Amino acid sequence: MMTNKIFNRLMIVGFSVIIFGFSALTLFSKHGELSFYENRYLAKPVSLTWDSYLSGEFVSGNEDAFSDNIFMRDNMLKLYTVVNRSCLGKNEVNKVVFGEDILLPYYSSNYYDEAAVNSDISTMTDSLTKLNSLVNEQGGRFVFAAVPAQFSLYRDKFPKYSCTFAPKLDYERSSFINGTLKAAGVPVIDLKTVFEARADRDKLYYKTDHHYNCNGAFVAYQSILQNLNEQTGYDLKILTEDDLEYKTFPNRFLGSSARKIYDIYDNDDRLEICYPKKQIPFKRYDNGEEVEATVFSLPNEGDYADYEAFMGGDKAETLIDTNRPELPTALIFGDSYTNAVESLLYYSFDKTYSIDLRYYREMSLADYIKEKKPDVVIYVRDDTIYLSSENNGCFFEIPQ
Amino acid sequence: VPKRFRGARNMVLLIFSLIFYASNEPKNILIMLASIMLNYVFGLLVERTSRKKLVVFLSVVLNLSILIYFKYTNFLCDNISAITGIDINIQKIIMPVGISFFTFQAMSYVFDIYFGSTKAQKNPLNVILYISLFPQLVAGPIVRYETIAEEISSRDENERDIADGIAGFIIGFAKKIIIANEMGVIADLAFGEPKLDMLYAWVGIVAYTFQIYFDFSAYSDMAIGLGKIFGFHFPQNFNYPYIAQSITDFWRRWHISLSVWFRDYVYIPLGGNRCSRLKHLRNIMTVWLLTGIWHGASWNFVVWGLYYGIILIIEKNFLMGILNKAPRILRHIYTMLIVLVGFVFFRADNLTAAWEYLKVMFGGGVIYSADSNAMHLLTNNSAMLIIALIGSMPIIRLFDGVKYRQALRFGYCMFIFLVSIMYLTSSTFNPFIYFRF
Repeated sequence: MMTNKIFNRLMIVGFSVIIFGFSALTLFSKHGELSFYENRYLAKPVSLTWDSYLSGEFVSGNEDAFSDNIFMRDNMLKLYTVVNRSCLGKNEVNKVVFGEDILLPYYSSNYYDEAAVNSDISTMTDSLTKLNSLVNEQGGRFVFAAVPAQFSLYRDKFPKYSCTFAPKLDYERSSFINGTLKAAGVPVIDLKTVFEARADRDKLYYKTDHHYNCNGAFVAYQSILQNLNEQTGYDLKILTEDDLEYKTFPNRFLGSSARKIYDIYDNDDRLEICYPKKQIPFKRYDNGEEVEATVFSLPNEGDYADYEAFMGGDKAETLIDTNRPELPTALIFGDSYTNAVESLLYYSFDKTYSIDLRYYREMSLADYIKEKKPDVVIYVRDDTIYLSSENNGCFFEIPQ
Repeated sequence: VPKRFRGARNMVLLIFSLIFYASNEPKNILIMLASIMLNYVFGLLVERTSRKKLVVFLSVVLNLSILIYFKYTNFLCDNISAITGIDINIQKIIMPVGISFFTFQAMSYVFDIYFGSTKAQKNPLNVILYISLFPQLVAGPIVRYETIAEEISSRDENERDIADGIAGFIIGFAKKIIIANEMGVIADLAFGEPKLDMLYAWVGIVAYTFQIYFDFSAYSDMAIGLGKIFGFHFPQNFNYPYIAQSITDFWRRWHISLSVWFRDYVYIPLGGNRCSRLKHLRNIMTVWLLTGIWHGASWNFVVWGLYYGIILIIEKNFLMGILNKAPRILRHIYTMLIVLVGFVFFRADNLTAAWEYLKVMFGGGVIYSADSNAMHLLTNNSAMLIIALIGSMPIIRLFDGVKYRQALRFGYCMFIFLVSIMYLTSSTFNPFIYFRF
């Protein structure tokens, strides 16, 4: 009886300590503005006004703010990931699949509507055909480098049953890249074929990030320049491995997939960069402002390294000017797969423009081409998104 | 507030209950208060007038009018438009949260006075407290007035009840956060998939069956637990329904407070089973039609209700005799099969989707596709599915006679409470989508 009484009291005290303790520590502890692992701003408290109360924003906003700033949130999220992986034996946590010596993103959508995909293929083929014609009319040459995402190239590394997206990507690749685009005469490089043919296929991408590493980017760079030389008759300098210096950083590499699982996965991914042994002087401008003349943003000792090392991450507009007017000018656009390629590409051109239509809102891509009149236009996009007409798939108007 | 100031204690509970409702439904609190006051007046009238039946009739008409207006107007207009071709263009009516629960509680207050099982409350604040009491306001259980009438004016809040209440609340919280939400992810994927195979369909409906039980019973557990903390003893709402041996047994274990409400206020007043065979059938079908409609404004719920009505009629008339002779495992398989099929209607977006889903479940499509997500979901969530299976059985009762039961309960509750907070926090994990590019 006495024991029951003690445990009843313990229950009341324990519950009160947890519920009021967490609340008090959440309310009175100092909060950051950013969630490092989620790469987003944390919700902020909403002030009480008559409007915010009546609209329900006051309550829902403060609920969001409380849960976003709950005491020891990152530790709890990390523990959740460990519990799910180690205790519950899940091979997929937070949409990341634990493959054989690799982390891969998880896609739950396994079926696809063929009619809808065909419609997207038709739309994107028309857009790229028009874009190719526009570039040609302006006196330039166009090439589309279709990049496989990491999990697309390494699909054989998924655990059994977790790779369910392959039929969709294969259908899109055969019907679009090797089908309608080639039939329409749009110059396209199927980098998946290029990568798969290489003996070092497994060394072209990170194990914990969806991007290629400097080796993959170098192969992509070579393929693009070869294609342009064949198309244009230019004799663009193509760097070879012998022309390059390699440097590996000891910092822990935080890939996009590793970040989603709070970096609990032990791996030997490292940031490696390659750059020409024979350097050339250049000026760099980001969004019109001159910035430090470098194509890398390197990590400090003890900091995490990540893919943002290439070009310092995504920028709306970058210009690298090597002041060699005898060489042609280039424009490269696309998502972040362009960044690692850009770190080598500028070497072969006078001016290299780069725009990312997710952020660039000054004018449409078509108007940009008409204004800058680049000699070559390079489009880099990965196979998970190359049928999307949004952002870097929107060529003739400013993306919404 | 000291125990002797019962009125002040009730006032604190009332204020916090209203703040709780108003924080989520700032505009609709007036509708709830109007509904409560209406029933308070009806309660007094029923007790004082000689024309009791008329007053009860009026209260039913008014309560149902409010419920129908907020919950079913859009559904009715859509159907009238579909049948007649006339475009009835009305604004979407936002339903006050918990309207089905507080309307039924308010109606039970008037009915209980009419049936003489309780007396009308003179103090309107006590009626408001009974109906708006925050633990059970938005998700039940439906607490009949006579159940807690006495506890409103005199109840004993003690350490044992508070500790039991906390344990109940924590268990409910964990059921919702750890199991129901995880099962919900699987169910949503399956029911959102345009092309299913048979395995995926079964994985989806099994997950949904666990989700709905662990979700709904969790809210009841939390409500009962919170009630106990404040000295109220709400009735049990779920009693391990998935161990039922027949559908009749299932409905004695599932959403008990709703079944009891319909039994006492609809089935029995209609004559129950003490009438002709035809009337008995009518009574059963009426109750189940209403049960279905109560759950939501959709044909799916109508079909779901009638489906159970028909099965219960079949069981009562001849199947129960056969079932009683069948091995326990067969009875269980039969019951769960009926329940799983029923939940397809409950979960699917519309009747066509439900029918298509059922066709795939029973072989009307591919049995297993290599592109299917089913095996991934099954292997990835196998541990959680086993936890859900164990949690839906009365395993905890094995500990009833254990010597250090209280100590075990304390440790277990604190552990699952912390795990639940961790899971709750994980639900806020929301990486920036442009990560991918």
